[in-house]
Amino acid sequence: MSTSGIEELEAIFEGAIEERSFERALALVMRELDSPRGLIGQLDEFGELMVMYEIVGGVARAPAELGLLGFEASEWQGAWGEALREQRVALNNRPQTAGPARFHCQRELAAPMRFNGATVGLLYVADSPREYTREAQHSIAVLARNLAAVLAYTLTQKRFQRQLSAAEEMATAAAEGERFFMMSRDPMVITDAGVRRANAAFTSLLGLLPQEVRGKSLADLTHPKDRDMLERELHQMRTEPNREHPPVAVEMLTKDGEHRRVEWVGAATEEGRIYAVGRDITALSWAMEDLAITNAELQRLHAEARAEEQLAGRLIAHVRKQGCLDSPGIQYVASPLGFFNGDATLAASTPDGELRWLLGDFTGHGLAAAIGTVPLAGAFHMCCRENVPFARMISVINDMLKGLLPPGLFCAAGFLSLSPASDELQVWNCGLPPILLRRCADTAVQGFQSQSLPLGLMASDELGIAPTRVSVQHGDDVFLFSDGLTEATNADGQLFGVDRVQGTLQQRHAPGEGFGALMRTLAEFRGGAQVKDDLSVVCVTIGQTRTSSRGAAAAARAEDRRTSQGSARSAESSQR
Amino acid sequence: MALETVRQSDTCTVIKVVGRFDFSCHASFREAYTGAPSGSEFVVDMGEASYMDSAALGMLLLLREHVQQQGGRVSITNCRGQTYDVLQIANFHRLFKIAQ
Repeated sequence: MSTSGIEELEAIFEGAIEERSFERALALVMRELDSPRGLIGQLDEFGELMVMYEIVGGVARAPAELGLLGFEASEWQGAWGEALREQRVALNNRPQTAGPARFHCQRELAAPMRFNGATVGLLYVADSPREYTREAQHSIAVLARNLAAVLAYTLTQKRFQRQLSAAEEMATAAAEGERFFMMSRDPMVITDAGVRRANAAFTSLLGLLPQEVRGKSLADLTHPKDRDMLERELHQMRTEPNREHPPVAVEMLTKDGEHRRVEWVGAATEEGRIYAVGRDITALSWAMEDLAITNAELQRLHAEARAEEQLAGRLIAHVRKQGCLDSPGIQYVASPLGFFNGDATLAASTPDGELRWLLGDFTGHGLAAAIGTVPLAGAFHMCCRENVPFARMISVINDMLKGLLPPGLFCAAGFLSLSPASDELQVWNCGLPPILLRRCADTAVQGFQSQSLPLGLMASDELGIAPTRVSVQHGDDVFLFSDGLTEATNADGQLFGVDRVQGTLQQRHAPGEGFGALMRTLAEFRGGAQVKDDLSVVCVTIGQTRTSSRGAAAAARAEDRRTSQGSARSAESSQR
Repeated sequence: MALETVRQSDTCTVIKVVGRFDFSCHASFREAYTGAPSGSEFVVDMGEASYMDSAALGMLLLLREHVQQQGGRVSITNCRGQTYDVLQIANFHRLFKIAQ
């Protein structure tokens, strides 16, 4: 290397090291060795070559543009690879056959940059128009040695800078963490066997001074009943360090002996140091306790209401169950007993052997509607027992309900009475859908429309109660139903309607089978639609009924009288 | 269900029922007639009611009672289809002036 070259190089590195020094030094080396291509690479801490500066054809490229980062030693090819591996200057005047694509060149020369026995980088030139000589090799070795010291210094400097800023960052983070630690309104504590540090929220929660807390174990600060549990949880945290554990709530003791309920979340380090953050849930637990008490009270009241409801349900069920609804010749569906409902289906026989049915449908829902069924059933059964004539019974019941029901409440009802000889039916419909009589002989269906206001609205003497009389024969069926049947809906919201009922009954059935057919048609019509609970249907098959024993005896007496009077009428059917 | 109340004059109030006339109307129906001047005539317009049940009949009875105490009258107009049938079955023409 020429003297001027050395001087120039020394001038470059004189005084403060500046960034462009390497680039200028590289340019000088390339000029010295007559090479159009050159680079300075540094070895990073993992021994990989990172290009710091590269000049190709007089154009310097900033390191950021260079893609040649992270080549491992095994991938280094040609003279520069050899120089780094073997720690000597390498000459290569043959064309390269392999290697990183962007380093194809005719001739190359590379020297490791060594400082204090360590390789810190690589100085590399290539593509001189002449072959590289031993002199060139010597020159690059000198230059590499000179640059090595500077590079080592620069690298040290940079490493130091990096460490310094990392340390600063950590210090800042620590200071910020400390600030949060002390500012936090949630208690925080760092503890080994005893408390190492606790924040202001922790000490003030317990009414203690920092020095009073330090060194104490968390268990010491906890209510005795929770100590074992807390110790177990802390042990668990230490057994499985470096992960968050589910919260644990304990009673802590304040200096004044008060209890504070604190929920802790913590994690332990490998060394068994626990970092925990708490939350004072004292007020919350009081609120929860209050809520639990209120809840218990509500449940108690609910249970009481249920019990009363059941009692009332049983009472109403009892009233409804009297009579002879379950006798032969009668089929019915009624809303479930014990369930509050405004429908009542009743049947009873009179001492004279007359059979009577009543289907009542009170307005409204639930208990308010169901309550009306009690006096209704009571009056019905009493009138039947006392042989009160049919029309008179209806008047009595109507006036009784009128006096009893508040405005707006009433009872749509249908009454039937079958003569002891089962040959005459009396019908009174006040507010129900038509009562239907299906003739066995020709399947014709006759309807008895509502002919009066519902029960409980107008005094009986204004109503003019006069039941319709119709003669019936064995095998005829009478259907009595509430609007729960005609207003049953399907999934499309269509009503079942009277026409469907009549249509079903007009089909060919044996006596008594129309009821089952009607129920099947209804179930089919409803499909998946929700079933309402207010469906009541009663079907009486003439000639299949039987009065109660007392009624039967009376009927027999009546029969005796008729027979003795020479009547040709037979009453056999009434007591089959 | 919706109710529209129109005060036609100082002495006549029209309550128009739209949609289903059932228990859900209870409060609003009551509101529609309380506060009317005494001696008022009430018209319940059923023209746009699609359905009524026995709870609705009960509400009509309460209206009737209220109006009678005040010395007024109630009529029910534009009844058709199911609503007419329900009023018919209950024989409410004995209590109200009912027009189809």
